[in-house]
Formats: sequence, structure tokens, C-alpha cells
Amino acid sequence: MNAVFANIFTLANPTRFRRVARPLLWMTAVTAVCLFVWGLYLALFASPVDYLQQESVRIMYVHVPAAWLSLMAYSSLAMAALSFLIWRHTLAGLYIRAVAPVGAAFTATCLISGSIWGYPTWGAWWVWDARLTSMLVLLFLYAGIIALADAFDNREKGMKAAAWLSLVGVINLPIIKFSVDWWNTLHQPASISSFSKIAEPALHSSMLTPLLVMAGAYLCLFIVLAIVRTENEMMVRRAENNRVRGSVNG
Amino acid sequence: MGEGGDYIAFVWAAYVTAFAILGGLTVSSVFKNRKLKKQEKE
Repeated sequence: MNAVFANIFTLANPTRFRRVARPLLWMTAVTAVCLFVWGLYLALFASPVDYLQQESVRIMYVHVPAAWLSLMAYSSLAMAALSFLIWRHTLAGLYIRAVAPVGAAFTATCLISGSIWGYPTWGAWWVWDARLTSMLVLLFLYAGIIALADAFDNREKGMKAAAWLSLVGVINLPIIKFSVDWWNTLHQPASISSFSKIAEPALHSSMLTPLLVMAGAYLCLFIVLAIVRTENEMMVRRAENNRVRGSVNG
Repeated sequence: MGEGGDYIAFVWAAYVTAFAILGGLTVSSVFKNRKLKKQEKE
């Protein structure tokens, strides 16, 4: 455990982060492109249509991975928030600023594609179902974090406020996950919710494979976006510091 | 439920929307990265 923390602390140094992030960025970018090409072929052409939902089942391959990534992105924000608030790692604060819009984009993708899937399946674009409503709350949380991070003249204060909101919002994650079990919802329960279910999933392999390939592509895209945007935040911060130093000196 | 072909428009709408959102964010982030790097060098 100590070794894990030691590695995280090592990466919290911006110079070391850049050194590790550069090769990782290219590797994940190339992997993302390959997985997207393969995943789209499987999702749109190779996978079978559902006997009941017909072609509309193909929406699952963009909708479900977006939902997974929106939750994963939020979990990573919460961990970064802890790191920022406890150990004062500036890189963790910059990560929150960088990744909140990425999480919001995945959540919006999930909600919009779900709505488009809902109309032919349920006959309604939107229902105030527990799963849909808790996902909408997640989108609002992301919006709140983005707004708070920019709400103060002092960037540190903004990052601190955004970190606190990230931590408070963690309560929404189990609500999203278990909403389909706790309440009577129109949204179906999870088909792949645990490792035991991965071994014996409710989905046939012809549908499970494209779903997992697309999830891999989304994950690689998330890593690429997280690295590029954190680097952007680092450069903006450095430019601001240089400007302040320049105005103080002269 | 209608014929399978009825739903193809919904499938394309979902895919185009998903890739517009995620692709847009990716392109804007990469362009900003290039611009900031250029500014740093100057």
C-alpha cells in the first residue's frame, strides 16, 4: 500500500508527470483509434439485431460505455479531491479542473443516447425514473464543479471549492449504481455488474464483445483527454505564475 | 414494434451525437494544447 502511495506522490510532481504522460499519451491514442475502428465495425455491422428492440439495440454500444466512464471519471475526481485537500497536491487540483468537463461530456453522451434509445423502446424521450434522474444529478454535479473551479479570482480557492463538491457528490455514485435495485424503475437492471456476472453475463458474446471493445476505446479516450487537458491546465498555471512574477519584478 | 429499419435513424442519431460531443471535446483539447505549447516556446 505504501508503495502505491509512493508512486502516486512521485507522479504528483508536474515534471515527472509529463515524462510519464508523453509516451503513455501516444500509446493510448493509437490504441483508442484502433479500438474505435474495431468497435464501430462490430457494433454497427457485425453484431446481431435484438429480437425485440431490433436495430435500436446498437445504441447500447455508445450508451453503456459512456455511463461506465462517467462514473469512473467521477470516482477519479473524488480521489484527486482527497489528494488535493489532504496532501495539497496542486496537480490533483489541476486534474479536477481538467477532467470535470470530460466527465460531463461522457454523462451528456450517456443521457442523450439513452434518451434516443428510450423513445423507440419505452415510447418516451425521458421519464423521471431513479436511474435517469440520478444520472442527471451527476451531470449537474459536474457542471457545479466546473463552475466552482472558475468562480474565484484566486485559482487555489476555486480548486478547493471544486474539490469539496467532488467529495460531497460521491454520495450520488452508489445511488446511480443501485437505483435499479432499490427502486422500481423503467430502466433495466445491470447485465454486467460484477466479475461473477462477467463470467456468466446476461448478454450473448456477439453483443458482449462489441460492448467491451467500445468500453476499451472510451477508456483510452478518457486517458488521452485526461493527460492532454491536465497538461493544458499546467501550462495555463505556469503562464499565469510567470505573468504575476513579471508584474511583481517590474 | 415496427420493422428493424424504422430504428436505424435513431441508431445514427445516437452515434452522431456521441461522436460529436466526444470528438468535439478531443479536438478542442488537442488544439488548445498545441496553442499553449506554441505560446510557451515563444
